[in-house]
Amino acid sequence: MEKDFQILYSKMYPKLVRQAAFVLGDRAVAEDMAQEALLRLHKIGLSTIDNPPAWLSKVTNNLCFSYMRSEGSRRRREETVLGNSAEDTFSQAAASAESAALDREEFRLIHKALKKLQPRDRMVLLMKFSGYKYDEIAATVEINRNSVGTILARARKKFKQEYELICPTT
Amino acid sequence: MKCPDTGTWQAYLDGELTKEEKISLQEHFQNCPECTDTLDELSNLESWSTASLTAYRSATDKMPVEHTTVQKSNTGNNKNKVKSKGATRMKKGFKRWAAVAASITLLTAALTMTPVQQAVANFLSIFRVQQIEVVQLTPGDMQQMANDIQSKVGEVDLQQFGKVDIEQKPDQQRIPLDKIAAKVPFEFKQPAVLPDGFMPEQLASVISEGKSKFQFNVEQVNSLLKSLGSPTLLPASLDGKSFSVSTPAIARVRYVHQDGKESFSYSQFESPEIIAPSGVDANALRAALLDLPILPDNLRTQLASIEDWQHTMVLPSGKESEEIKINGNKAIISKGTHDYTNLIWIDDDVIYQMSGNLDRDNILQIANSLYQSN
Repeated sequence: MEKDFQILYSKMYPKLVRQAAFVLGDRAVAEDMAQEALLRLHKIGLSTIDNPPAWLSKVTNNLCFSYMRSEGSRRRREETVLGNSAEDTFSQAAASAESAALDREEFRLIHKALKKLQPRDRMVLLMKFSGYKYDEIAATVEINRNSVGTILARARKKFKQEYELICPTT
Repeated sequence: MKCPDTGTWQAYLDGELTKEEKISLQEHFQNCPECTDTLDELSNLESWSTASLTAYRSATDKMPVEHTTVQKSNTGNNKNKVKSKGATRMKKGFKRWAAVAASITLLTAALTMTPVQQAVANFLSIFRVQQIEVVQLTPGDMQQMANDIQSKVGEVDLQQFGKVDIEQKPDQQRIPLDKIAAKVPFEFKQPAVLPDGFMPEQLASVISEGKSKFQFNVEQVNSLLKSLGSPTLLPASLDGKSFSVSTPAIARVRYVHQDGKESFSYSQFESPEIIAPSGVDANALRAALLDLPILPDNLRTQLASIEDWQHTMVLPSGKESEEIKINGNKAIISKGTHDYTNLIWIDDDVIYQMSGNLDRDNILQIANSLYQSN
């Protein structure tokens, strides 16, 4: 039993980290989310779950979405308090101090555009890209299945608009 | 047939409709140029976003892997992973730093919208925070100030107005809950009561104390003040004087509901502190900043009425916030969007903050329970 868990852990951990890193755009937080999902499975017990990899992937999505929302609320709160740029300023200062590589520019731009979306819209967009069906998306972000199409279409539109605002040349 | 909405067409493209729905949509679309356009637009958006996200995903897949080790106890029941303090962590420490340092400053609300405002605001909070006050500030006020700065000053760069030397970088570690007490210079309190279903995450964040020095370039700041039309300038004697800024050690724990959808975080940190060199007239600084014409009058009045401003953290609030007591100390509770509640108080030079998907009763119960167990 414990050995089964070990095997599952080493197999699933890297996958879950990649899944979460894509959704969050932050590797360090993604590791925390993946680990938290695995710890939960360990607590509940492997034998109680029918399809552990699917369960882990679902819980990881839930954790990421929850993180995004709390992060979003925190940011909105701080934006009310600080205006838009205080956090950006410092993270930019930190990034330039660490001499951020130029080849990450494209990543940064897309990440920035994604962050402009509501957490719900962002999650829908990213889950759809990752191949999830409407049912699964609806369950994770707690919306009616019939709204997924509308939200997805709107999220893509906004994503493109935000991206073009950031780099008007394209 | 009435034209189906965009969402329905999206579901059609994604193969998420029943066979019957599909057939009826196909019939409609053959005779409707408008819906043909909608479908075209949706397909274009899809290819654009797929192309962008493909690039994005290959970048996130390749993100540097932090050095990690898995520590296992003999039974294998305790899996605690110890992380090295990588660059990402440092950056997070910085962000937190920025949030804390900025929120303590007297004129944060007015002055943090651009980098230079950040610097000026930091400059002002010269003494240790011991109490909190709320000032009312509407989003309209904020926007107005932002516009004023944009139109009168334009882009500004922090480097122009002073120099920051980091003497001790704050760094962040993830450690098990029971190890926190040994890592922080204050008494770490844990709630004795948690709402049903909430559990602490296995690892908590601890950020170590940071120290930096800040020097003003008075000439540059004054030219900024002038361009904003300010009647009061900074005294020349401030030029090159070195201020030391200590950012506090922070312990932060996140509690997550077992369904994974709700969470709240609890932080405890020492009061930040800024020490001015001797010979600096702090009141002159304050006067110069309060005279900034971009401050809305109601804000100016509110700020000016704070008597013990050297020891006061100002929390700008546009929404409903309420003053209550936690363990006899003044606390501010405010409600955000989506059942998000934020609570902050200061007790004995230590700042406590809780925020998350909790209602008022729950958050107060948790806060008060910090004092039960000790």
